[in-house]
Amino acid sequence: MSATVSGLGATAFTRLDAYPTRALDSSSLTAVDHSVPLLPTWGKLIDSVLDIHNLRDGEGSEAPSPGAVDGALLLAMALRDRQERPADRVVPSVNGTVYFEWHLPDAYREIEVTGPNRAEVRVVHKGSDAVETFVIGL
Amino acid sequence: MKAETDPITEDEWLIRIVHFDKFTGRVPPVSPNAFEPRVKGEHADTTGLSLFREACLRTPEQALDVIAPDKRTLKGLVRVPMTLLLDLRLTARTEPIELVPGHVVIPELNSADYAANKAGFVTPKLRLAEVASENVVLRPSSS
Repeated sequence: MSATVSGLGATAFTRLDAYPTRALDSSSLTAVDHSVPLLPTWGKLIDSVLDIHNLRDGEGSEAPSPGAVDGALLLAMALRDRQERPADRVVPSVNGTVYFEWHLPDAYREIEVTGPNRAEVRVVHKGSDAVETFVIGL
Repeated sequence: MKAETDPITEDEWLIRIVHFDKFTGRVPPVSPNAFEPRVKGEHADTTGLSLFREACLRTPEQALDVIAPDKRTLKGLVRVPMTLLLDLRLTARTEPIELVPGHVVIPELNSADYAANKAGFVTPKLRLAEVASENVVLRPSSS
């Protein structure tokens, strides 16, 4: 797996899945707010991803897989470089994956990194139960 | 206090144990993924997401008796009302365990259904987390 982000999204159009697929860079995932410094916050998120690598619940949960952590790092660096709004948090799931969450005024968005090359995006808008979902290649 | 054999009523509150990494200093403090069923492992949520009836506990902290003593500081507690479950068309079913009275599961939030339809769980996870964030009983004391 490349450690660079230049290939991010390049494989997205070739990935068939149960969900409609689109490249990460085909549209912005989050609103960009240039009035706030973005890089330090993404830096903290990247640190959090690195911390996740060492986490283990100890109560029966599956620890995040190295592949999911690698994928989360790639995604975080790519979104940082694109100056996307930083996620509100990054959390390990109980199922070996890594979540980025955005709690936006008009929507909740989450990206679940399931492996080194794959992430699932889910968006639900305020006042709606409909969930938009698609897969991105990393 | 109620006996765990007593019927679950609409005015009850349910306690959920939440690992420290699902809490943050941001708003909302509790991650929606604190309500994600475990799909694999010894504690997979095959029959549904695990909670406790507050009415059956001496104190909410009694729920932590299911956790090994040296790991309890890693856990927080949140509470959600039964009325929220009903709003979300969820139910609570008694599933007694040895260590703590009042154990229930939300059968609709089980591991098999989650694995088959993650998108369908986003809204209930989000709503549960929003209400849980306003009803944090205990924050983890260590991480």
